[in-house]
Amino acid sequence: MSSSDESELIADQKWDARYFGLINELAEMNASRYEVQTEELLKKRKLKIKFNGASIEFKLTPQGCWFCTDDPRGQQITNSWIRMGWGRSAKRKALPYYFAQAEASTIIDQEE
Amino acid sequence: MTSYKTFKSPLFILSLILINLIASSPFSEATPPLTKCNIKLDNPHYSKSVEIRKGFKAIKVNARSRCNRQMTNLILTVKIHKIGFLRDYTVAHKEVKALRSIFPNTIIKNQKTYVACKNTKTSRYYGEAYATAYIKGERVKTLHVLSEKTITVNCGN
Repeated sequence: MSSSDESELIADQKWDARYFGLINELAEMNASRYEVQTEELLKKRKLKIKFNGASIEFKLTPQGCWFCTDDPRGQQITNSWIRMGWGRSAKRKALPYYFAQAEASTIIDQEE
Repeated sequence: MTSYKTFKSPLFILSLILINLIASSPFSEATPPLTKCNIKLDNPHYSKSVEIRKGFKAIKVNARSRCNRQMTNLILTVKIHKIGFLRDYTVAHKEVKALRSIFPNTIIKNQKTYVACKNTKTSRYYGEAYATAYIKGERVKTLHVLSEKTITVNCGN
């Protein structure tokens, strides 16, 4: 492995640690809010939230969930879809962590 | 006898003439690309950070885009596909949209694409990446790049 590959790998690992650490932190900090949001999203199938000046829209699909970000302050924005499974219980389990993921993405996009 | 007939058929002769024409045509020479733009897509791999921080396993695919021209409205998309019994299906899709103008040779990364392992069922995953951007006001698209390796892991989704 060349030294540039090695430094790239270290930078990637640092980035991962920051990103997943942030998701973890947000998931713990906002657990009750995410529970409320999960129930609302499961009921209405669409949900728009404001976070750090950005607007994040969540949309349920039969097998998963989308989030689309609109952030006038950000250097970049992230849109995402993940497969959660057909059932409501699978979505109920995955959604709180997905909310944390969306908010962590917004924070990182505003920094980059 | 049958093979002789096939060999002499007008369709066979016509196709030979066409092949010769294409081969000798000046258009068959490869034209060098106008830009040096590329996407580097890593193979799917276990993310150590997720395992350490969250206590579960996840498969991650990273992609980097680089271009020697100034670009605007770059969208770098990364998908993780799982090989299924009848067809492959997408398990994660992430788009990173750069809102600012990107200077030549700047590396734009999409490192957020991962899929959490729900069980230990043996599964096979591969990554896909593509990008679109505006270069000198013209919309350009890359080809869809697939990861070099398809990994088999004990990670069901």
